[in-house]
Amino acid sequence: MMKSMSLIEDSGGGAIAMPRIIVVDDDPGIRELVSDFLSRHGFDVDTAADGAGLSRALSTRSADLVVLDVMLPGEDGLQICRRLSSQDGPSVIMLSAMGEETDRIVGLELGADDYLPKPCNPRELLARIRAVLRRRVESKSTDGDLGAQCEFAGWRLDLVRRELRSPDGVVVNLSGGEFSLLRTLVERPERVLTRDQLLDLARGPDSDAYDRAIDVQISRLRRKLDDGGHGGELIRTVRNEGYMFMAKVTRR
Amino acid sequence: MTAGEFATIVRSPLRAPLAVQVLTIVLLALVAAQSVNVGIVFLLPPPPPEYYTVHEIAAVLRADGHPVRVGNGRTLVAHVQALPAQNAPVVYAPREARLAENMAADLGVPRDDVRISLFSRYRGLTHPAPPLRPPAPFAQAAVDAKDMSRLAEGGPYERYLVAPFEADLLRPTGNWSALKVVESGPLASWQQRILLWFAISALAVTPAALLFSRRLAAPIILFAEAAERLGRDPQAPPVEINGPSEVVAAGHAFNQMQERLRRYVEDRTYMVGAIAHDLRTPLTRLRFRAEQTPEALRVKMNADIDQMDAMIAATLAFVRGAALPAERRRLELVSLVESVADEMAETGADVEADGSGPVVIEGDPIGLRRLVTNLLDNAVKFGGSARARVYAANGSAVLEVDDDGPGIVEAERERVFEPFHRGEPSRSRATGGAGLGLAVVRSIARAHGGDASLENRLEGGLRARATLPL
Repeated sequence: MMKSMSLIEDSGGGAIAMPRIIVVDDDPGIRELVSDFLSRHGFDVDTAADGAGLSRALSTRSADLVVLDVMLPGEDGLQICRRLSSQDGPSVIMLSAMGEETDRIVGLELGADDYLPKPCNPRELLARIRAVLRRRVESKSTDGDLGAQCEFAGWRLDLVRRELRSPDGVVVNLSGGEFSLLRTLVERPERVLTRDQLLDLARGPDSDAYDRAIDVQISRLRRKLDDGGHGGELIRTVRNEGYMFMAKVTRR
Repeated sequence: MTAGEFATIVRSPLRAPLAVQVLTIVLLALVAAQSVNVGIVFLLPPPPPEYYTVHEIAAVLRADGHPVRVGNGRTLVAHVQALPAQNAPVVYAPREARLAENMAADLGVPRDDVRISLFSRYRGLTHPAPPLRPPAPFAQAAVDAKDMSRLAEGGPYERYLVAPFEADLLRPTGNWSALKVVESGPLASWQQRILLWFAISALAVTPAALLFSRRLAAPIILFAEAAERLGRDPQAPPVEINGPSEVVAAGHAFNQMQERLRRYVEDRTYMVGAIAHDLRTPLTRLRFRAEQTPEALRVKMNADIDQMDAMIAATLAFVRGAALPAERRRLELVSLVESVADEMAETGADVEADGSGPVVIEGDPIGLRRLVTNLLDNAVKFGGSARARVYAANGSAVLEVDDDGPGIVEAERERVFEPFHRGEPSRSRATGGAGLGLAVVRSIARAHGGDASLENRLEGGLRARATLPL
């Protein structure tokens, strides 16, 4: 079923199968508005008021993605999210009025694919939905789930919590840019990456950052990854080429 | 000492009410002190007498400058010297006169060759009706003890001398042999005994009293620590206090108070959370409705919605920071400040951060990130720029954020930490915010056992400082 799904871009032609999205929210106004908005952008949208309604909607026809409110009467959004992810069901984007960092972490750890605080910008929601659907297709074709914890030379990088821990367990903070860069390096260990590649992979193809920004961030990362020397050089500069991440990375 | 150790010390026998315990220790101390007293009276030899017999003093005077050891253990020496001739007849007190008579008789010299002066307050003391005896015959050169005692039969007061006194004897050479006896020291022997008794009693009772008061104080110290913990962390577990029944009762009351406080804070948090949730639902609807409006209107509506959402977020952050138990982890503060500063610098703000060496504290990563963000935001908003510094000093991690703004008037220095108070009276949205930034900073710092403060820099501008225990 999922394999037959293909992506549609903005204008969306009716001829191609439209991704099916179920919007779960206890507020009828939001259900109606979100479903109208998503329908206008080429999705096949259904709504449900709670967990039971979602189950009914899923039993008639499977869905590609669920936009799930966290605070729901009865079974709450987090419980539903755990249930869906354990069944290898549709992707989940959580919407929460609490909008707290801890809620985001809990949601993502329970298997949500993305998390947006309310009141979300409709365009932002649309972009996230498209990104999640794209990843869904990609991950089906590749090696499936990767662990959220990367370990290298005693360090531990938690991709959900966006958190780096030193070998002696101290949390070392990274800025958003540094985290993306380190994640890019850690996901491609022992390969030379050019500055352009790093920019593309870490910042996205339409980033307006420039090469030098990468050098600055690499030097900051090196400083933060310096735990007194016994870890050795983790990020090596390859002259005239770029950078290479030297440590063995294990994921779990 | 940990609370557990305190508890074990306190546990066993000291559960009786404070009044009973104090009464017990006082009675025990009394018994101990009196035992020492009895011991001293019965075990030590009696103190040497503080008086001299006339016979002894006569012997000293006769020895003519040689030291003589007398009956009470002291050694006396008479000095030979020329005394001024006394033209006027010496006026003696009756007791002095009688002592001089006895002394002369003892020495076998004429009465006028002996002078005795009493300096003590007993000077005037005499036997009520002493029979005046005729002077002893001059021929009697040596007087033996028997004669002496017979001689002194005049009465007990005329046989003894009590210091201070002076006795002089005219020598055949024309010089006087003079003996001045003063008191044996600042304290009489009975006074010394009392001091000894006091010292030994104090020594005997002190360790016991110390031990006892420590054990009595232990549950109170434990109690104080628990109150201190509650001040820092409203979620601290209830205290378990063993000890005197009054302290146990206080502990129960304290735990109940803490429980009520916690419930109150939880209720408030829940209520504010519910309000925020309920406000965000219509805001979300507005957002989607705005999608259908013309571009110009939509931008303005979105700005309004963003502003309302920022206020809700600030309120939620403040309430949560004060109420919810935060996850504590070891984290490195310099990297946290640097990454927040870097992110702000990327959006064009004038922010710099520096700190040397890792500064590792126990803390809540999300709360501390908010603290740092708020301080830097504030500096940029009101001072145009932010320069942050992290260092460790006096067992605390210190974060200082300097700006180049106008600083702050003294009256506002503390008030800006109050929730919903704004340093700027205009309450303009551009700089005003919800008035929670610094309140959140302080509540997070205090939740970590630290604090936050503001001060004007000498060079101009404001310095915000947060301290967090290492």
